[in-house]
Amino acid sequence: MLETFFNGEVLLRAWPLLWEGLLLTLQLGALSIVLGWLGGLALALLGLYGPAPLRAFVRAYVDVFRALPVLVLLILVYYALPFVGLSLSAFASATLALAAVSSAYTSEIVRAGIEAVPEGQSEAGRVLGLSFPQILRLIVLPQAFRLVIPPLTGNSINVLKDTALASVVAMPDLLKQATQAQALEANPTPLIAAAGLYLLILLPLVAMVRRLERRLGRPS
Amino acid sequence: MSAVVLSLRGARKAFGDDELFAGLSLELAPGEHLCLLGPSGAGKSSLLRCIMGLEALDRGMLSLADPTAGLGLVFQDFRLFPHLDALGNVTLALRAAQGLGAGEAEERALDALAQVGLDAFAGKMPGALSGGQQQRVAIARALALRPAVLLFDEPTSALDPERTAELGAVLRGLTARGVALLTVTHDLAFAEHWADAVALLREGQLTMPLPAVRFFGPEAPAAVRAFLSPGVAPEEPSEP
Repeated sequence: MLETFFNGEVLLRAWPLLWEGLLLTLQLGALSIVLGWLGGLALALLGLYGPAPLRAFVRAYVDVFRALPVLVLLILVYYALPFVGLSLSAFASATLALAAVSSAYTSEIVRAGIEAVPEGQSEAGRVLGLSFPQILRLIVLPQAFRLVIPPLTGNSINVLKDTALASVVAMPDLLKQATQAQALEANPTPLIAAAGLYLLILLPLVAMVRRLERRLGRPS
Repeated sequence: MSAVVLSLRGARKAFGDDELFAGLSLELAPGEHLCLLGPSGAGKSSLLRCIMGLEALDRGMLSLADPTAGLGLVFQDFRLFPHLDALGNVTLALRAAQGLGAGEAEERALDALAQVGLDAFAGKMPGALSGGQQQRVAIARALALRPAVLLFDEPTSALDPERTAELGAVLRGLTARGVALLTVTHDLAFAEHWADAVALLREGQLTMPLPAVRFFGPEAPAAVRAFLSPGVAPEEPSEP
């Protein structure tokens, strides 16, 4: 049993591969998360304050990318885009797919956060002579961000988890390296180790979301 | 003494078919405190919002003696920025809208907070302040921009009598420095105590502003007396 699932020698041999995979997973996750934030913020602002055609575009974008499974999108980007002359690396494809979906969710979260800031706050800014961009930057967004930190963190956890899908397009992320090591050694220990590494990274984040939600639920 | 700091002529405002007021005119002299009374829904708050520019007048002319010294409005619910401390609330517009440097903005903000007796509370977040203190921060926030006229929407609605007296004293201090005040209120006692002149907004018309003693005295116009003592009808009383 221990020999099979928790084989120390196998783990030691597989470790360099797993470590490389972990680093790539973290890079892919971090980049997709940050791009998703930026894209989501831009979409939310356009969806709320942009001209009508852009608002309609944002609505359509958000609906489509929330409906489309990430894996389907990833495979489309990686295997279908080359037919229109756009060949992206596995890493770029995964980043694009993850960020596109994440920005749709982020946009909805940020929009809800902005709408949760009372209209009176903007009016107070107008009365003080602030311009619309100043009101947004100095009054509305700082308050909205406070509200959206827990759901935004939750969404980022999902993005980090979804990086494992990149193994499907042969990106040597943590899961891919683990499955390869498992095939090489004919032993599941590398997979167990990979699962442990995912938990090691994600469990603290999940606990943090729980803490943030509890703190925000309580009136200060 | 004919100096006028703000004058409004022929103002009309309607929401759809519902006309709030029409042909409304008023003037404010420097350091004058004018109180507007009136039944709920008479359009008092809308009038303030129109003067402040938050809503557009359908008709009418608003002019300020000195367009560079603007207007300030203290909302009924104060609307402090909850993510900024008291000082940050006051410096925000000084820096962003008036372009002052950090040091100068802070100096002016502390001065404004001192005028409302709250300079010791500069570092406090709004959530840690009482209602009366929050209101005074809101006053300081408006005051720091050095407006010629300050508008107040129902300033006493959240205050007990003691806080109301404190507010009255703060307002006295402002008028003494030449700031004109236009207050909309339901609080008759407040108007009687603290206003220089009182007028009634009713059925779309504003009565001629009268000194408080005359407005609340027996010589007041019939419409004013009917508003002040609604139970006392000129006809026979309907109840024993």
